[in-house]
Amino acid sequence: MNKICFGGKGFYLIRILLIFLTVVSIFAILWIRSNVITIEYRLSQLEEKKKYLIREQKVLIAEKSSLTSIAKIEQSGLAELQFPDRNKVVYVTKNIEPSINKVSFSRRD
Amino acid sequence: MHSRLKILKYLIFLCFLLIIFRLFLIMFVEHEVYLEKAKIQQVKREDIIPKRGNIYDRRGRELAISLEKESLYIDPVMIKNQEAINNILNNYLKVNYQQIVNDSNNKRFVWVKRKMDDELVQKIKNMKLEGVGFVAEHTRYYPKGNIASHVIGFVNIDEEGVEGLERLYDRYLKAQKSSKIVLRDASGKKLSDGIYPDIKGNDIFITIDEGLQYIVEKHLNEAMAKWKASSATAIMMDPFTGEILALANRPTYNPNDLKTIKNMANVRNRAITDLYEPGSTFKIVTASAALEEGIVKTSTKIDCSSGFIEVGGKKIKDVHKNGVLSFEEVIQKSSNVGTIKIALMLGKEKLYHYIKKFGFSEKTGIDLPGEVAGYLRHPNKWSGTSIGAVSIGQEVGVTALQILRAYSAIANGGYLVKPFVVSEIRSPDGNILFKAVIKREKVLSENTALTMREILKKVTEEGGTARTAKIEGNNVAGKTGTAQKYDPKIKRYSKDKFVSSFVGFIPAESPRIALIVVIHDPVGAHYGGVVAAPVFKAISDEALSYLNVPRDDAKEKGLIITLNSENSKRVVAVR
Repeated sequence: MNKICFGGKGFYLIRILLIFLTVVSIFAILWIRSNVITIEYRLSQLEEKKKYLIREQKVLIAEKSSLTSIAKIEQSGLAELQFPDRNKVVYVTKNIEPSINKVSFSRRD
Repeated sequence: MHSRLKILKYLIFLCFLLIIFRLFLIMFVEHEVYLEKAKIQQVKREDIIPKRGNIYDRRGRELAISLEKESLYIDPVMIKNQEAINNILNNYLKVNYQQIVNDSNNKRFVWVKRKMDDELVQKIKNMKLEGVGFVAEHTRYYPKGNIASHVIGFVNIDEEGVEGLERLYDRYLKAQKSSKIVLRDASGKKLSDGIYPDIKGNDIFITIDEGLQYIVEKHLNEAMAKWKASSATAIMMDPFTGEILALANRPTYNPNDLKTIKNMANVRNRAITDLYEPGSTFKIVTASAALEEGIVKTSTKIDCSSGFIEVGGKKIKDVHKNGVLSFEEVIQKSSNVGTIKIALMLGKEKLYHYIKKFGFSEKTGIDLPGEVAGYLRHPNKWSGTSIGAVSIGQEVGVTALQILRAYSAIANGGYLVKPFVVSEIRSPDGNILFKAVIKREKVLSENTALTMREILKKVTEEGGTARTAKIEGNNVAGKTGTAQKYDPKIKRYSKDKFVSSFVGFIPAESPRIALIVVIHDPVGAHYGGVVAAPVFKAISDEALSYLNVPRDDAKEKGLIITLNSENSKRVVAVR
């Protein structure tokens, strides 16, 4: 069985290895820590971007809603609110008889 | 040489010992002190701006939404170059820096301009001015402009409801303020603060339909221009449920641009806050009461040939002499003499009882702010002429909504419904917090309602006062109203100030909408049949098309195809 001899070549190598490992560990920790911070910065930027996009989305929803308002469409002259001649409209219903001669609280559909 | 190296070794070792000792002190002994210092430097509590809930119409179209805007503030202590700031604020925002500072009472946070345009914000941000900062806030936006503005209302700069639903449902719409922890590095740069959901108020779904509302507002605008009226109101309601489908007043305002409001009276929801004498539209109360009490039948003859009647020493005239009229003709031709004679048969106590039964002089309970109850004196306080005046719609103060509700009772078979605007309130995660319940009270028998409906149909037919309200394809049941306005200056009814109205429901046999149009002070004409009835016709015509309501004769004309299980399968097979 080989014994480690203090002051010998083996002990020297182990010492170097231990120092190397310690330095590497410290650097690894620092590197991971700095990476975490970098990722946090990146995340923060992405969150800002997300907030901005959500804000833009809200603006676009508002714009869409405004542009699709019947009043605006008619005022812009793109189209005039015209309804078809009801003599030419065919109503398709499913198993429902229109209750025309009825005055009652029960709803008709 | 060897001993010097040893000394150096010990020195280095001692230095490390000192460092370790100092670290020990920092990390263990003074841990709390440094932790506090670090927290102050790195951790910051930031407010999460609560977002007001949205308001949607019955088809889910946005009527009121919240957008994010930035507001500019200054910290006078941090400002070094006051002249430069003054120039910038003056040029871009037209505000005087010195004035703001003087008004601030040495505060370190002073608002300069709130809810600014994005472009301007970016311009000022790019200047990187010291002592100038921005805070994000929400601002209310009404994408449909002045559509339904009297129903929706508006908010103030601090997002608090001031008018309409925004005011009445403020506690549902606004959200509680909250905050979050934000980490910053030594230079103040923000680190990720994690995912924080939006803090949002509840959404409100209302019974108004944007399409119907637009139709109503468009025709009300035209009527205002045509008759140079001082004001006008129109309300459309589902007579069976009490859902308000459209409600508009003129003059109106744009809730996105409150600075343009010239007169605060324009903000008033006249449909529920303004009383007027209804005139002939009120005659249905007298007529329904007489039918319900069995005092008259449709064929009962009433002599109106004199053209006037004296009640309590006061002569009340008909517009035209009518001769002997049947009960239904009294309403069809809107005879004052005939109606007063019916009221005299009924007696003042019973007349009063039915007026109350129809909900007059009481609030309808609609969920809009500012509703008034109306005006009706107790019979004990009536003068000799009162029974004549009240029965034809004078000496009573009503709102347009009360009249519409009374007509809805005839349309739906005798039930007085409670009108409402908010159908549902939903939390941000979609849970239903409130759902409207239809409230109704039986006030008339179905037979009386049916008879009254048939009589009201005749008003728009040949010989009636409102042939101008007749619609191609569907029967209209309704009644005109022309009331002189009381002039407090001369202490009598004015000869040139009128309220012209028409109220009815359509299709008469199976009503889908009840509608009232009230026009104040029209110029050039004043009869309800001339001024208000055509507006009713124009609105109902388009509303029926919008709602896909078939013509009354659609079935005979083969315009209704009913799919039963057999031919629906055939349709699927053909597809």
